[in-house]
Amino acid sequence: MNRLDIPGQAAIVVPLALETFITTYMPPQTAQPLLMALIPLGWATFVIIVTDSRDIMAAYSSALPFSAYAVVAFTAAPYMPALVAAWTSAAASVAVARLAGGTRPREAGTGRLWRSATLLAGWVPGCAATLTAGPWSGAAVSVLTVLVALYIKARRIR
Amino acid sequence: MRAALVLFIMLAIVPWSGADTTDEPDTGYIIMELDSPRVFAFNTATIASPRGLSGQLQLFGIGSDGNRTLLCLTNVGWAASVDMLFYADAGTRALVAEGRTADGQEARFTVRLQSSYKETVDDEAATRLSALEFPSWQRGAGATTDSVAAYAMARLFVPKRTTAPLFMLALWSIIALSWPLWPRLKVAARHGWEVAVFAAAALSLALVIGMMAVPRTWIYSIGVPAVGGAASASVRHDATTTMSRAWNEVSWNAVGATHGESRFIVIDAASTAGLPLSALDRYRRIRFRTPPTIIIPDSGTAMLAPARLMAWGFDE
Repeated sequence: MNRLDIPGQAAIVVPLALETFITTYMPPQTAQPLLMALIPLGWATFVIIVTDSRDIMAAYSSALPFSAYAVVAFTAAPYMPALVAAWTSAAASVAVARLAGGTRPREAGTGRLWRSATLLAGWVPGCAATLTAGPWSGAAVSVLTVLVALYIKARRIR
Repeated sequence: MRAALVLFIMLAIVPWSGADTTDEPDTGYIIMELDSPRVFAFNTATIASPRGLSGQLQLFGIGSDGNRTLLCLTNVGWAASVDMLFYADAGTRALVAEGRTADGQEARFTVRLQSSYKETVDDEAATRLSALEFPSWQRGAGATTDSVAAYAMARLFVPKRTTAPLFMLALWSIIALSWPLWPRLKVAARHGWEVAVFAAAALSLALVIGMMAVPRTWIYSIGVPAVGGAASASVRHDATTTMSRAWNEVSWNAVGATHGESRFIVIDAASTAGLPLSALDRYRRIRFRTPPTIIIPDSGTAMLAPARLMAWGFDE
């Protein structure tokens, strides 16, 4: 398990920057807002898994401005619901991964597969609720996931 | 009753049976009242129900080919009657209102447009508008420029890209690439604080970029003289740009165009929240290439739904 180094950050940022510049100068098209919000964050997730990095929050943060631009520039208004749903799902992913010990080096029971699974598991409740009940419901479920993860963590420490 | 032709039919009393444009029968307790609509203009239809209306209300236009086009869409909590705006096209033969009454029953009501509507189709302004041709949506190299409208579409009505958010993203890319060096630069005392500062910066910049990148609605228009399709050389390049709170407008004039003559219009509102209908108040008659959908949100301000639209209009 590694800290996110410059090549790791470059693996996140450079493809996203290139993709942003190319799509900006392509003929105008309107895309699905949630998809556009999730693509940069999904790419960051992929890089975290491949590089086995523990700096999950930093990786997601790197992708956040690209996510905002993709939604606002390429989808129809309103933009906020999709952004909030995607970003809170990312926060839930960080919270669940932290709860499962996926951000600490050499913690017992934190194999690479386990860390990847917990990272992805955090995304599931929010995305599922977004797809079935809408972005605000998805955001609410993700916030609840974060709160439950924090609560369990706090109880463990006590 | 109003002076003009008023269609006021209660489904419960007189079921519509002569709709030759839709196979679906009318249902539920719903009524539609409208003045004689004017073609190539925005008109109002009042939808009402003795049981009240609730939820989504839709108004469709049925063309002579039988196709349905969504003309107006609104949501109501509860209302006894709702005014719905719609654009009347020359090919519209009937209007269909669909929604639910307050007790949850589905309701549909069809009104066939009568002879008084056909008279407005044949009036002088409508005849002149009908004769005007729309150019291709194609822009740039390869686009035809054989008329003022085609020239304007290919050479003048070109959307401007906002580059500031791209510069911000480039700057962010550099910051993000330098983040692994932060421990050496001692940006924060602990790694946790470094992550927190980095995340806060990302969130702030994401919000700023989001606000800067919000696309604005652009209305491009060019005045065209009544006689002949002037060549590109006759277009005066002194564009007038007007920036309002909700939209930007750029207008040109071809040589020979006078006030009150026809204007070729392109509305670029594809990725926006739509365009307030008041932006088109200056046009007494306007002919869209494809009938637009009007959305009436909770605020009550009628908006053209997000789309790219092409139109010919006559100034007031």
